[in-house]
Amino acid sequence: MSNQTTIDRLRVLLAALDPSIDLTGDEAALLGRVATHFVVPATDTMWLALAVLHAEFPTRDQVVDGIRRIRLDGAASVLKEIAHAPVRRGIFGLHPVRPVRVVTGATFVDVHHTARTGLATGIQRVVRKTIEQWSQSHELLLVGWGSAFGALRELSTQERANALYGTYPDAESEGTAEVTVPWRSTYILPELAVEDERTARISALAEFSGNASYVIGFDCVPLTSAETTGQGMGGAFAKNLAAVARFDKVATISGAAALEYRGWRRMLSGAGLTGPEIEPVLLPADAGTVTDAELASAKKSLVIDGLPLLLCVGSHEPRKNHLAVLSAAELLWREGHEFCLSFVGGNSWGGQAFTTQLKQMQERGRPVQTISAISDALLWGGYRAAACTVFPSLNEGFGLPVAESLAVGTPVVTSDFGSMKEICEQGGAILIDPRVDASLAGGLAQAMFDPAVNQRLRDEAARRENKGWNDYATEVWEYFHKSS
Amino acid sequence: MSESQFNGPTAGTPLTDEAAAQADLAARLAAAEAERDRLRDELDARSNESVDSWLEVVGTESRILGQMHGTVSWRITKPLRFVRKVQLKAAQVGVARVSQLAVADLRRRFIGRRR
Amino acid sequence: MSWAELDQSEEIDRPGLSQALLGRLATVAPYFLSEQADVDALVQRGAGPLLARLVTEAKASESTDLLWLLIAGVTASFPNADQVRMTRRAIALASPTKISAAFLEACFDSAVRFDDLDKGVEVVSGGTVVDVDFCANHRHNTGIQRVVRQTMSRWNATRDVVLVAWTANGGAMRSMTPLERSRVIEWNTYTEPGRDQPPVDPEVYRVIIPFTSVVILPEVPQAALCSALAALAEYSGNRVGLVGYDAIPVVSADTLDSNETERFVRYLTIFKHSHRLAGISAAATEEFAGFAAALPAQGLVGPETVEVSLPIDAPDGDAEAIGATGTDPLVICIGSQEPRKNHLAVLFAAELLWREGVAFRLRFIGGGSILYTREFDKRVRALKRNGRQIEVLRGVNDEVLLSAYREARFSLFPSLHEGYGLPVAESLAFATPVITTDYGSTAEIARGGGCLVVDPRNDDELVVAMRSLLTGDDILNRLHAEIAARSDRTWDDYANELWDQLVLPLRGELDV
Repeated sequence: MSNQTTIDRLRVLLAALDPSIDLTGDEAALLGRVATHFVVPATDTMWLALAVLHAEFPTRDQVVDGIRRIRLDGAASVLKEIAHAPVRRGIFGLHPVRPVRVVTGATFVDVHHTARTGLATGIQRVVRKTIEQWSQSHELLLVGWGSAFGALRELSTQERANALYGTYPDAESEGTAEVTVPWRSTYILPELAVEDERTARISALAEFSGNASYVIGFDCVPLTSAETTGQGMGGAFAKNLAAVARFDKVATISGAAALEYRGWRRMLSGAGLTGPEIEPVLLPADAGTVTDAELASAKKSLVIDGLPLLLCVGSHEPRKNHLAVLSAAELLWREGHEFCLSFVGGNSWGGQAFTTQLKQMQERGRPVQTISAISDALLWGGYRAAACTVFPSLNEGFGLPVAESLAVGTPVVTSDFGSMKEICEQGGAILIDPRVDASLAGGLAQAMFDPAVNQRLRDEAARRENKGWNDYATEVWEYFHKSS
Repeated sequence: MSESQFNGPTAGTPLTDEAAAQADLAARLAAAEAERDRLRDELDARSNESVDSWLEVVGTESRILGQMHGTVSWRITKPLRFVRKVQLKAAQVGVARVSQLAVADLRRRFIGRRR
Repeated sequence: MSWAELDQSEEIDRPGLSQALLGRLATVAPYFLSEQADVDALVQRGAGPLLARLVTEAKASESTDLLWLLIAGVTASFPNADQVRMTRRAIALASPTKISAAFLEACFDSAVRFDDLDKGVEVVSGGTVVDVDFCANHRHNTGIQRVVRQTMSRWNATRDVVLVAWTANGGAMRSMTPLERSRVIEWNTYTEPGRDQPPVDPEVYRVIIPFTSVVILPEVPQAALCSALAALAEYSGNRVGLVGYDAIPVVSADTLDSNETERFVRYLTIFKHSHRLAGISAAATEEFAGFAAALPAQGLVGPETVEVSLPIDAPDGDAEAIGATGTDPLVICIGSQEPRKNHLAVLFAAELLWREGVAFRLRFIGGGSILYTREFDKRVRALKRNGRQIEVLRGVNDEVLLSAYREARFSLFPSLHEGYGLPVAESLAFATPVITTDYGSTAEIARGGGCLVVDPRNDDELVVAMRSLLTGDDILNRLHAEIAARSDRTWDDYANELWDQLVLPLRGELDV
């Protein structure tokens, strides 16, 4: 990839503004031709000019300020100044300016984080499954950001593979990435962006660039349940929301998440904003398969002393309410019920109380354990081996373990509100008040130890119509692209 | 205990025997009650003592915690905690709105402190 | 000091602590036991048997009120939600003989942390407790503090309220000193003895525990108090009412430092368990109502929200003229220099008009974070170099502000987001017309007359409005007439309405 000069960037800009225009001539001639597009400066062309000439996406202030300067001092002189002050790479700006290209009529999908992470939690799974389905029937331009979150660039082959399949967690970008500017295009953000610089630039893109902008909304937990999140999350998430406020559409992963996003949207009126269109597209319930050997191995890990298994999947953060599970289990053991309890999930913020309590119970000889090394075989084997699973979360955008348990036909005891309740609409679950341990214990006693109830729930779960990832991805794509 | 259960005289029993039996019963009852009170007092004393020792342990822990604030590690983190305090205060004032005067005041003090 | 020395200090006053605990238990006991004779008999026997009985009662109770009260009584500090839940679980699983021990063990950490075991407590039952911690401890007097002081001076005179602050370590509500009370209810008349001190506890105070009471939070509490207040709202059985100022740290988070948002989302944890909120404008009320509408996703209902708008208020005090004088009309722009206030739009509009040959002076009054003022100041200096009549006053007192309101031809307040827009109200109180934002709370104030409204994101509208007030008198005269005809509410009206709309409905719920 060759270096671009100021003149080259002016040509790139001019070609985007008017594909039929003459690209010959010196800088003054080119600037003159560009300036004709800024007699009455508009926000979309101002955004484009800044992105191309600076080789970096502008923030809101830069766009607004650029327009004001042009109105005061004239387009030619202001654009000239901008064109001669591009952002240089490297710590001291010693490196050349990144090459810039404008892509028209494409579908940009921003998977910056998914392309680089080794994690495979809920969000990454949604992103990967969705773009995998999309890429089979649509032309996608998978993009990420530079290290300073200055501009979008196309992913390298390895990053692309990691974005789609999670196979290259340490993927490197290749050479000098081109600044890739969407113009008359679609920008889709299927993951959660919380980096300040990134959200500031996405916000300006959504507000000014004229590109269509769509985002998948997972939940508003850092805003609505701050007591269950660590320091720093609320601030970062609110900046994400400030960008989402400028988007065209949000597809939330459940009706409960839509309720949260719509509540937030109501809050915007005081700032004179209307906010995006918001519709729920419920995530699918995946039924993973295991071999007999994997099932046997999962049983070996999860079942204690051959007792009936109660399985609880999820990290030990306060929102998941695992202390209530321990307390309810203790109540049931004291009532004389025989079963073992296995947690599958990593430690996380605020998990200390859980770890301490678990240890005390183990010391008293209760058949309870937690396993943090999760594999697909263990997870899907566990769902199948369990007499019942439990998921008494206090707030979820989508209670994945509920959907997964039901998909393999295992009954669930879960919260009687939000996405948990929504997922259980076709049956297979007992709904309880997760804030009352006795309610949880009562639900578990029925689902685990009343054979008739357990069987009824299994029958209901087996009759469920489970939605696939293909259905989900198609629904989201159609919602994004239908004219509203 | 109801009276009728214990004091109901049976027909034909000599009156003197009955009085003697009653006296005996009353004595035994009084002894039982005294024993019960003694046991209760003992339990109460033990329970009061355990509450007292809880208080003592809490008091000791509190004192250690309080003194920790004077130790070196705590003093090293003090500038950090000060910055945090200013941030929090600034936040309060910020929410408080247009608080131009207060913010200016804070800024003066914050910068003054650093010099 | 070394670790070895830690254990060498003065002895623990064991009898004193013991007596204090027994006193606290005796104070809360009547809310557990209906017969005072039972209470007296148990007090005679000592803290151990009394505590055992009260824990047993709390365990048997369906609700968590008694448990919350007992934790507060024993530790002389208000528990957070984790502690209430942990204690509830501990006593639920403990055998009858171990129930006191389980309770004390669960309370251990917070008792240590707050170290108030020598204090006495007072239970306020069936009362109206108002948390004025910040105003009691600080001499700031801007937005929120003015609302609180104006309202509390009136409530104190006419209503039965208990004003409280918090202990310096943030453990519990406490009684206030006469000076602290004066800071809240006699702001204009009392004399401050010294300079502003960081909050310290008075030498003598009682911990105040509201029970089956109404608890009003007219301030935005400090972050450190939010978890205890959220637990109070969720578990104590008290009815909690808030005054809602704005949700700017969430909605306009892109214009603020993240720490403000952090603090505010903690405040929202109180809001979601509270029972009623009175917003200071329709716009502010709608912001909180929107948040409440998101709560069913987590199985909560959220509080009722009602609008009780602030009055049009002129700050007290005498005017003192400072700043450049001249023959050209003065235009003022009041407010801290931060992005949300949209001052760069004002600079742009002013420069366009100056270039057209319109003559006027422009004066900004307000401070601002150094983060934002640098760029603003740079532009102001550039304009000055070109001979523009522009000045920025920072850190000036109220007198200067008042004199500017009096002198100005009109004021500018094209803010992007406000919970109320105090400078608009202040300007109107001085009969000075205002150009302000055409949505949200400023638009509400403008509807009463005396303002031109503009879309603050459209520079042309601002230019047109400014030009119309600078180049002719017709519109300006009309606005003056409108201001004269305004019928605005007073602080008396506000204080009464807030009582009727916020406190009375909550008091009604107590009787149920």
